[in-house]
This record gives sequence, structure tokens and C-alpha cells, in this order.
Amino acid sequence: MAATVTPAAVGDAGLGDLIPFWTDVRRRFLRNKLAVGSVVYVVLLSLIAILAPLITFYGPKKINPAASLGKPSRAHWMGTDLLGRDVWTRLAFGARISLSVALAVVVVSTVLSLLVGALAGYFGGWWDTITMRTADVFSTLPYIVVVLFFISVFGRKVWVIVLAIVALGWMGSARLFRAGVLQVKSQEYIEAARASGCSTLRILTRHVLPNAIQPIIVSVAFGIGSAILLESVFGFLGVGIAEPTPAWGLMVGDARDHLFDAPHLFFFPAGALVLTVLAFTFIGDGLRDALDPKLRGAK
Amino acid sequence: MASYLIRRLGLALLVVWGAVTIMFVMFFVIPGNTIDILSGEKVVRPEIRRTIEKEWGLDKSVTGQYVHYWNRVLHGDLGKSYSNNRSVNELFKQRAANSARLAFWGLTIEIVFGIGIGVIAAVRKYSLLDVVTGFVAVALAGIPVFVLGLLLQYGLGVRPAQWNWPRWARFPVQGMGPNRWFVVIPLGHQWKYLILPAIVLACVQTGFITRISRTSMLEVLNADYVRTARAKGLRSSTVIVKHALRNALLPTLTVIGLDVIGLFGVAVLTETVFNWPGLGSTIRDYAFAQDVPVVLGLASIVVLFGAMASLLVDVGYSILDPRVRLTTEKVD
Amino acid sequence: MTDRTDKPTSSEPLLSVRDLRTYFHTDAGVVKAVDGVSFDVGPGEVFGIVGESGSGKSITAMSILGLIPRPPGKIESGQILWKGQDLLACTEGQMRRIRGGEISMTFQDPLSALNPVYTVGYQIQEMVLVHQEGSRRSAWNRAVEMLGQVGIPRPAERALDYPHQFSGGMRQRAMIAMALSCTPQLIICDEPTTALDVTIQAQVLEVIEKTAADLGAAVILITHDLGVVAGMTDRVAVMYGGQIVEQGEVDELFYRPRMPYTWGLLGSIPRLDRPAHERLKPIVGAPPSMLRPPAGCRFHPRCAFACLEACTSVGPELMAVNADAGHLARCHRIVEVGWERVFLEQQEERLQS
Repeated sequence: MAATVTPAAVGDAGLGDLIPFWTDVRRRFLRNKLAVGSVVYVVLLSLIAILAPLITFYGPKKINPAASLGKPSRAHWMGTDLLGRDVWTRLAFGARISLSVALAVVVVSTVLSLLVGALAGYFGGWWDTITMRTADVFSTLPYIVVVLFFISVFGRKVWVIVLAIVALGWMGSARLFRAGVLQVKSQEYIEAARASGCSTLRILTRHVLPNAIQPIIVSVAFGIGSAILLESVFGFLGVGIAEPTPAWGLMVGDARDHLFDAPHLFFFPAGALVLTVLAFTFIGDGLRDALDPKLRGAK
Repeated sequence: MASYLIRRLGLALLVVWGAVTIMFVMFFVIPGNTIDILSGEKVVRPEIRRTIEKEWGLDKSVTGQYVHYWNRVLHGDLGKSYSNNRSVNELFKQRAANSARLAFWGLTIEIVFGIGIGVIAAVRKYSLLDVVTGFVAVALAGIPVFVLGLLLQYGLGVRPAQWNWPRWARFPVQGMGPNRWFVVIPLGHQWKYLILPAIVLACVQTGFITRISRTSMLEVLNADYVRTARAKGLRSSTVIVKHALRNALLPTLTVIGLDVIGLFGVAVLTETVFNWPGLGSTIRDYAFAQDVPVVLGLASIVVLFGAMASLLVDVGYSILDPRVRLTTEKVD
Repeated sequence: MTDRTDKPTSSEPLLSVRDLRTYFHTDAGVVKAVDGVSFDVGPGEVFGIVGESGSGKSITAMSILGLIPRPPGKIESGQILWKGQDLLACTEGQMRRIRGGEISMTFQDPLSALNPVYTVGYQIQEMVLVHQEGSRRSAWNRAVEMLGQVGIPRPAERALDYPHQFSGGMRQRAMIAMALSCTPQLIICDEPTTALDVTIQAQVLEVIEKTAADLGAAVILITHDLGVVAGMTDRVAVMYGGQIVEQGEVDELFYRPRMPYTWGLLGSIPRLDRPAHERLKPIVGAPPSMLRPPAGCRFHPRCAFACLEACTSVGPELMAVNADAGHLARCHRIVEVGWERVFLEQQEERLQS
């Protein structure tokens, strides 16, 4: 070979380069207008959810037969539904349900799939085989069966729906983390850490986890979007959170019968749903591109 | 090759067995409110409870129930409904054809448009078409199926009726209409009932396939053998179709074949939105009524179909890609 | 050395590359992969291009055939005269006839360069059908004949095999068979031996040399391995950082090199006639970034002799050293008296120590 390669030429993101790496990630993310706009939208939506009682003027479950199927007006910005409930109020309180379900799902599912995936990847052997085959079998279950199981055993409550969504979604991220751990594990500095007598736990938390953090961040962003989507699907099909709790999917389901006489019942919750799911998709895309610019082709 | 197929078949059956067993454990071992559904009352008298348990085999031991369950399933008896005593086999026979016809057209749309748009977007990378379709594909992934369905119903069904548009511009939004078919070809006005649900069924997957076929096409277009083909002096259309597309199709076909379960999930929503009397809307109706045997019986068939489809994909792959053929021959 | 060295270079070159510049426009900036390259190749001549990976030698070859991916690549300026006709001004249709028909090319990694889903015979037949009149049958026969000619045993049977069923050496032979199947006047071999075992390398080079000579085709041999070039070329160009830094007849270049980079390349060839304990002398440092090439002479950051002020500020021109042997070199110091002796003295020193 004509040339020797100097170590400095191989600019890998080692631990020493972490700070400039994250500055770089932030810079790249901020350049993505769609992702930044989505973050602004999500912040706004969170504020609406948190401040819901302060910015609405009716109770989310308050029935008013006199105002049934009202068009959007000064009193009811987004109109009223069949039972005369204020759509804006239900939408704002619905944001609470959507966001809190999604957050709970992502937290539980990330912890669970991290545990399962990381342990499967790190220890391998029969534990790996069992968990990965279980994941395969779980991926073949239709979602309607899983959610039916949870609601028929525990009832149509919020935490039950959270568990059902976790049961449907843990496999993908567990596989992802397992692959990440396998990749990191094969690298030399892990060998070095093991050789110098580090405990397994220490290796996992100090060396493996920080290096697998990038796929976790991206999968969390996408996970929130798909949790909101799935929760709304359950609501629409009538196997999700029960009435009279204001959930967006449920509201769209109710609107089905009134496309003709009260289309606003459909458009407001459906719009909120689409915007929110899209926002998290764009944030996920933005994060992925910012974390791994190699995935984007040269212009 | 033969032993490879047998091994692959064994794996598929294992997955089906695992899935059905998990579902059995879920619904028949863990106590739910089955009895409440069966009796239709909240407080059940002990003697009625015992009669019901005996009738449905709930008084047997877990293993006894499990053996009985498999015995029944393997003899082709999928059970009967808790709520109306109808046989699941009969329900399946009634609804399967409706679902199959819808799925056939949905798949056709997603294959033709998904692959077509993906390939064109890859060949004309960074063109306006590429940018627009890329954005639409992402957006489609973010629009819930039922929202899309209702949107189409509103825009092409409700609005035209309200504004008195000509008859040809109006689409029916509920049900299956005349139900006149030649195998899968709609006859007469049938297509008007078919087109909207078929589009909705295809939409999510079309976006997904567009992205996958674009990515794999881009990858293949950068492959050395495509450069070789150009260096041979072939026309660029020949290079794209014969050398690039043939290789790029492999991952795309895998995605289509492997996602039967996903397609069924979309079908549940589509058929519910359009009141299309297929397996999806049936399973939803019975799930809504928390009628376990019907949901389980139909879901088992879906799981079986899914496993068979992924088996078919593997076989198809080994026909399309000679490299797979060789490795399997070596193993044998 | 082959007897063709004695042949005078033809007055009318077959291929003449004039000041070729191929740039890649990336997010990070403009990469000047080929930056002002000129050379001629005569009929039947074997011309070598040597350089490290990233020196622009493969991009030069792909520019000739119009295979640069656009975007991001673009040929900014220059001429590529093929028998007097400028290939850069050709239409796509004219280029198609030339590709494979008059100029053909083999690629570095024959496994990825052959399409995995078609048989080897089919891929050769396809090319013959494009460029020559005749039936599918006769094109297939031609494919089998060519496979036999490059030394593949039982060619009629092996033509039905898929590329992955061939060994590495046989794949490269199949590539050569394909490249020569339409009797081109020039064949460009891009790193034909890099992916192969050492024992197979010599066989493949022999096949290239023999079959090309039989057809009277000229060869451009692209490699990073000076040993390959020494054995079979008539003239050699050394590329560094997108430019030719030294060029000349093969004997002249090997025995009287003037450019310190060429010295480095020669110093890093393992040789059997040297004592085993002697360490190879690699060129220190990494190849230049083509995004921001060094100011002045592109080699100066790695050059042990870059002591002139001009070395770091002014890019040296390619200057004639020995007009008889067509020897050109790109270095500020070649004008110094006794410059050519520096290398020889160094070599002697190494031999003595």
C-alpha cells in the first residue's frame, strides 16, 4: 500500500467528540424547517392540553340537548355534537388523552423493549432465541385481537389502552435495540472494557447504552406518533377508551353519522389528529437526518 | 430446495401455532367477563353460571380446554358466537369473498402505483415529481385510514349529493351495492361501490411501497452492474427495466408479501368506514360486542393467511434471485 | 517487458484526452476529482495509469465513457478525442454505439459488476446483440467462444452459470470476455487485479495482454500497483490529487523518476532482490482532501523535499524532462542540477544500510 492511514484522518464520533457532535446535531435539526415547525406545533398542543380547563368554557362531558349539532358560532367556536357538548372543549381535553396515552406508551414501551432487546443482544443464547421468537409471534397477531383481550379483561380504561398499545409495539424497538447492542458489542472498546474487568451492568450502562442512544431518540419520536394513531384507531372502532371521555378517535367515530348534517364534527378532531401524527413523523424524520447525515444523499 | 421449503413450512406452522396458543391463553385461561357476555346480565345466578360453563367447556382443566380447542380447530370447526350462536365457519364463508375482492383491488392499486411512482421518483431523483410524491408518501403515513375514508366519502359522496352534481360524479359511500361480480371483476355499477374503499385500503401501503421501491431502486441504480450495463452500450430504458428494476423488485415484493397482517388491520378500518360486509367489518362488529370466539376464529384464519403469504414470498424470492437458489442447494 | 515497447507511438493517437476536468458538486462543496488531465493513447498501445485510491484515475476512465453519475458529477471542461471526434459533444445515441462497441471497460470488483440475476453467458450475449448484427443463437455462440478464449474451461456449460457460481478470477475473466466480445479498439481495465489473489493476478494480466494483442486493441490499465504496470505497459502516467504528476515510457519512469511521489511509490514496492529485514518505506500521511486540496503543489504536505517557498504557494506545471521518452513531471525542483541523482543516491543508501 502506498500510504499509511493516520488515526486523526478517521474522524469517528468517539467519546471525546461528543460535545461538538450534539452541537452539530442541533444545527442540522434547526435547519429542517418542517421539523422545527412541528416542534412549535407540539409545544402549542401541549400548552392547550395542560391549560385545557382555563381556555375552555364548558365541561368536556357537559350535555346540552338544546344545542345539539350546532354549527361553529361565537359561543361554540367549533360547534357542538349530537349531545350538545362543545367540540372545542372536547378537543382540548382530548389532547390531554392523546398526549398522555402516547407519553405513557413511549415510556413503558421504551423501557420494556430496551430491557428485552438489550439483554437479548448482550447475552445472546437461549434468552435471545426465546425473546426474538416471541417478538415474531407477537407481530403476527392482529391488533384487534390484542386490544379485545385487554378491554375484555380489564375494561375500557386509559391505562388498559396504554398496555394494549405497548403489547402491539414493543417488538419493533426491541429488535432495533438488540441490533444496536450487537453492533456496539462487537466493537473493540467493549472488548477492552471487559478485559479490564468492568462488570456487565457497568458495561451496559456506561458503554453500550450511550452508543445505542441515537436509535432510541428516533424511535421515541416515531413511537409517539404511532401511539396517537393507534389510540385513535381503537377509539374509532369503539374498542378504545369509553365514552364520555373525550378522545379524538372516538369523536371522529361519532362524526361518521353526521357527515351530511354536521361535517364540522368530523373536520376538527380529524384535522387535529392528522396534524399531530404528521408533526411527530416530521420530528422523527428531522431527528434521524440530524443524527445520521449519511442517510441523506448528496445534492 | 425441497428440504428448504419443508423447513420454511415448519417455521411458518410454528409461528401459527405460537400465535393461536397465545390467543388461546389470552382468552380462555385468563378469567375475563365471558360469563357476563354469555348471560347478558351483570349478576349471574350460580346454577346458570354452571350451565353456561358446561355448555362452553369452561369447566374443564386448562390442558383439557387446550386439547379440545385444537381438536376442534384442526377438524375445521372455528367455534360459534357467544352473542348469537352463529357458526364462525359460516360467517367466514359469507364474508371472505367480499374481503378477497376488495383486497385484490387494493393490492393491485398499491403494487401498480407504489412501484410505478417509486421507480419514476428514483430515476428522476430530485425532480418536482420526486419531491411531491415523497411528501405525499410521508403524509399518507400520517393520515389515519378512517380519516382518509371519511374524507373521500365527504368529498366524493356527501358534497356532490348536497350540491346536486351529475350522477356520474357521485359515489355511494355505504355498503357493497348490487354485489355483481365476475370472479373479481366488478360488473355494471359495482365499480362505483368498489373504487373508494379500494383506494382507502391501498393508500397507506402505497405510500410505504413508494418509499421502499424508490430507496431500493436508487441503491440498485448506483450498483456496479448497472454501470456495467451502461458501459455495454445498452439503452437507458433497457438498463432501468432489465438490470435495475429486476433487482430492485425483490425487497419491495418482500414488503408486500410480509404485511398481510398489516393489510388486514387496514381492512378492518376500511370495511368499517364503508360498511363493506367483509371479514374486517365483521371482526370489528364482534370485537365491539366483545364476542371472543368469532374474533379468535377469524383472527386465526388471518394469521394462517399471513404465514402462508410470507412462505410464498420466500419461494418467490428464491425463484427471482438465483443466489438464494444456490445457497439453499448448498445447504441440502 | 514486452516487445511492444520498441514500437514507435503512432503519430495519430487513438484516444486523446485534453485538459479534462470532472467535478462533483456535493453538499460540502465542489470536489475536483479530475483536474486538468491530458494524455494520448495510440492504437494497440498499453497505457498505465497509477495512483492511490481517490487520485482520480477511475473517474478519468468513467469520464471517457460518459458514465459519470449526473448529478452530482459534471465534466466541466476539456476534450476527449476518439479518433478525432470529441466524445463530450456526442449525443447519447452516438455514445451508446461507442460504449462496448469501440471502447469497453472492465471494473474492479467483478462480483458486483456482473448482474446477479442473469447468467454470465446471457450478459455477454446481450452486449453482442446490441453491437452486432445476427441472431440470438450466433450471439450466444460468440459469448461461449469468448469465454473459451479467456481460458474458462467447459465454456458452453459455464455460460449457463450465474456470476456467484464463478470464482473471483473467473469472474474477472468473464468481464474481460464481455469487454472484448465486440472487438473494441480500446479496452479500459479498472483495477483488474485488486480483488484477486496474488496467484490469480498474473494469470488475469496475461489474459488481458494476450487477448487484447490478438484483437489489436489498445489497453488502458488502471491500478494502484506499480508492479502490475511494470510488467505489461508501454507508457505510464502517475496520478495524484486529480492531476497527472509524472508521465513517460515505462523504463524511463521506473529508472529515472523525477517526482518525489513516484519515488515514494517505487520505494513502497516490496522487492525480492532486497534484504528481508529492510522495511518498506510508505509515503507518510493521508491522500489530500479533494474538497480542499492543499495550496501550491498538492503533494507538498507529504513531500520530504518540499523546501522551496514555491512548493507551498504555486502549483507546479507538468514540465518536459526527457522529450525523447515523452517524460513529463510536475515538480518545482526538477530544474535543479543533479536532481535526478537524489533518488538514486537514496536507493543506494538504502541498499547499503
